[in-house]
Amino acid sequence: MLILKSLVAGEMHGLGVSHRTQQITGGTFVVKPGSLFPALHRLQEEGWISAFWGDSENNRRAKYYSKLKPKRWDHISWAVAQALEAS
Amino acid sequence: MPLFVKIQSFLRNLFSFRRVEVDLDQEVHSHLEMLVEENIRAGMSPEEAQRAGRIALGGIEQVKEQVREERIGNWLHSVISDCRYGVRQLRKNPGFTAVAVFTLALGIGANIATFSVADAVALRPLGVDDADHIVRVLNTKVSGAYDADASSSLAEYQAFRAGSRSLSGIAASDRRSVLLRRGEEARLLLANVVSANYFDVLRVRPILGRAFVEAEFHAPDAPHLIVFSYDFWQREFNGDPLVAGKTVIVNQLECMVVGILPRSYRGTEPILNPDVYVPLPTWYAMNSDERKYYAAHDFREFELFGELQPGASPLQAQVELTGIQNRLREQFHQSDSDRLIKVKLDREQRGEQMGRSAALLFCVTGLVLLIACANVTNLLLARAEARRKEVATRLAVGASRLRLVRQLLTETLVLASISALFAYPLASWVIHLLPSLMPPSTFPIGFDFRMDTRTTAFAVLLSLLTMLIAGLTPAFSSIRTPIVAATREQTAAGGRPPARLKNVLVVGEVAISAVLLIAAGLLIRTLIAVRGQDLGFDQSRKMLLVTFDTIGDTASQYQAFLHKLLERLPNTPGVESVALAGRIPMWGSGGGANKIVWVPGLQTAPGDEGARVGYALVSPGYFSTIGTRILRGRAIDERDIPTSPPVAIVNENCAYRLWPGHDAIGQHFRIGGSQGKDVEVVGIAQDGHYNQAVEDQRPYMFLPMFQEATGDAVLLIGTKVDPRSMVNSVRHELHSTDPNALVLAATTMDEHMRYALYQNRLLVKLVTSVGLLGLLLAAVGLYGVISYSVSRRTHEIGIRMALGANRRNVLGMVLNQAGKLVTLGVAIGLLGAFALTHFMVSMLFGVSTHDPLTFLGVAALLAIVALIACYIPARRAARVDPMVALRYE
Repeated sequence: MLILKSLVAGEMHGLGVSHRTQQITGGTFVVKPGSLFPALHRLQEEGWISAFWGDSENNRRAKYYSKLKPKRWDHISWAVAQALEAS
Repeated sequence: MPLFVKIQSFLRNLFSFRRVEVDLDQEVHSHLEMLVEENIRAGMSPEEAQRAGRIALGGIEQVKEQVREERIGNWLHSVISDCRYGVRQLRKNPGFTAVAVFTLALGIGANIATFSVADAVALRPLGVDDADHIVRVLNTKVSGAYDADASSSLAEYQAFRAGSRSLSGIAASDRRSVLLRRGEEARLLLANVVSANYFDVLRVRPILGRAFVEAEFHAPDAPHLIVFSYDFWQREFNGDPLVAGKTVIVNQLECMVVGILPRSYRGTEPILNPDVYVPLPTWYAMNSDERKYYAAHDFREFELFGELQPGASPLQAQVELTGIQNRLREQFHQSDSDRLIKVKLDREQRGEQMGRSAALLFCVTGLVLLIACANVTNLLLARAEARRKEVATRLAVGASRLRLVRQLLTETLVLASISALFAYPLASWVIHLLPSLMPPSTFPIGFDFRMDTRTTAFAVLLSLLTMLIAGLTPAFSSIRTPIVAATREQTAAGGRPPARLKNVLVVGEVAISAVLLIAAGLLIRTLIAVRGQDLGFDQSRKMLLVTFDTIGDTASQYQAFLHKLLERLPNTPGVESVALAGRIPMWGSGGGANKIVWVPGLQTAPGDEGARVGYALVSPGYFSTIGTRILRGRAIDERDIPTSPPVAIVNENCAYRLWPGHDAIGQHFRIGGSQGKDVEVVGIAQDGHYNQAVEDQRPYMFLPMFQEATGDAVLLIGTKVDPRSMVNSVRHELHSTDPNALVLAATTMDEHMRYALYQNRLLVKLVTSVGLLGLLLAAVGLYGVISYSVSRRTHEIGIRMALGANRRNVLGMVLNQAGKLVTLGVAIGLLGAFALTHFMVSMLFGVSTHDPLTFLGVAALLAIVALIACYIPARRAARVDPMVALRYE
């Protein structure tokens, strides 16, 4: 969920996602690569996000992720937000 | 949509595995490098940055593995890698693999062959599109098992067809024979005389031409049509496609072959694949008398097949048809009120036909597979001990126990699959051997034994079953290893607990093979008893049995021909005696006909006006030719002509039943009831067997052939020389006596008897070979266990010999250990057989189910084989050099 949220801003590579999630949660939530990569891959395999190779800020090849279906994602994000608020 | 994406991912993971891996590798590395760069930017030295980056990442391979586990289709990958690992393991131990595969291939092969036989005999459904909706209409007699058939009369068939709502169609079929003329020769064909709607109801579509339909027979000048079966078309016409549409001469009638049936349709009886299908209207055109025969209300010859309406049940149809039959009975005042209509699904009826023989064969081969599995379990257990360290190491580094069990089972599955691959050609070889065990026959008798998708499916199932039976115990026993003990353990002392399990398995194997051999032994004794019994005729006489036909002869010409034959044939060189008979013993045509015999004051079954007595029409010279003894009175001879007083010869059983306590000679009875023809008994013949090699004594009589209306006859020619060599001169003699005469078949008495005992022989051959297979596998198992235990005890044996034990002592010690196992196994096997053989009682003859000779013989055989199997490793143990043994490990 956090990963998807962090991808709302735009395409990002793995490290970016990691920093972004940390940022969103105010540093309380550090996603380690051991959980980050499996999660990214599963989201990709199930069709939530797409991935492509691109050049990073420092001209280094990196794999970028972007969320695939805005409508579907917004819907679920909204639903989860509602659920979290209700609790 | 998500499903589609998932499938895409699954396929990508599966087929571009390498690319996915490279991608992952690059990604993780680029991640690491970015981390390092960040750290450098934060002011770390390159080395420090590298180190911190690696710590933050937490290990490249670990991350990769974690990603892999999340992948779709990961399970398949692990199965594939388990299989690869299994194959590698098997290749590393070729000896183990060879023995295990050999053992399992024999076990699985035997079972595939048995399944194929059972499938051909009973399990395979009717070869039509929609076999599940086809029912059989069985019309049976309630009382008396005498009339075992379940056929209906033409009138019943027509009434059922007209009145049934739950069956959308009913087809009728009767087995007859026809003569196909091909140039100068003639062929006797097995024909199914069928209702014109037969192929509509069963929905069989010919592969060439078309099937006949009912409408085309309505016109008075309807064409004469027939349809050939695939097998006959191949055999007789070499599959010539131009046959469809051709005109052939069948029973002297020009008929058009309108179609050739598909290979999958072999008629409705598994054993008889008819050559030709003749619709009733064409059949009547071939022989106008047939219309009269079929019209009789008690002439029940038609087997009925119906197609259920959608939603209708067989029971509904049964109730409906029973009502129709009751109405019919009232309408015609029929006396046979004790008939019962049953409607059964065809596939259920088939299952019931499988019979005890096939069930026995299944049990027997199943037991052999169990023995094979026990052997493989033992081998796996031995190997599991050798691999304890490996397993313990894997457990220690964190493999889950379930995952390990799965991997070990996968290895066994690989083993079972390889064995099945070897078993398949083995089974197919056995299957192709089977028809050669069949007796020669004019008719296309024989099952369609074949290997097809059904047998393949069975083989796959069997491999899975084998994996579970053979692999489960070793797999679980190996993961129960305490990790610490196993990793520390030195190899020599280990492996105590599974030893007991192995002994149990060997005892079980010996016991099972004892049971198998006893079953085989009892069947062998039965065959010997059957062969040795007095069948009431001389089965070892040199004799030729000839069936013939005289196409186109009138009844009087035919009679004259028979008389001429009896006069002329004895003058042929090599011929000793000649006779004719309406039917001869063991003719294989079912029960043979009966006549109602009325004697004043005789107690009879209700509804019958007299006793039912089987009979044969015989010519003068019959008794001396076939070797049936006349005990008192005279035989049928030249005096018994149409104008002389009717006489009969009865057998002892008949004489006793009809006139208990009186001399039967000179007594009179009436044939057909109290108003029937008066006949005098002039002789008493010895009792005999008339239909089957194994049957109860029954009343039987012989009537002079020329005092009755003569139908088909069998020519019996006693010869001085090899009867086979006489075939051509007999054929010539027949033809010169009557140019119309054609020999249909000539078999020797020897062949005839082989045919009669075919079932017994086949069962003996199959069960005995399977029993010996079991014995072989049990011996291999015993050998394996003993030699394994010897090799584990080499050290101990060395110490014993160093302390003064001599070779005899060691030999005795090993044999003693083996002897205990074998004795226990044989004892359990004999007890088991003692309890189980009564299931075979209907298959046995002239031998008790607890025949001491068989039981003792099997025990002795097992003891000898076991001794040989154990002697080899025991001798190896006795030859151990103490010095070598002490240094061992």
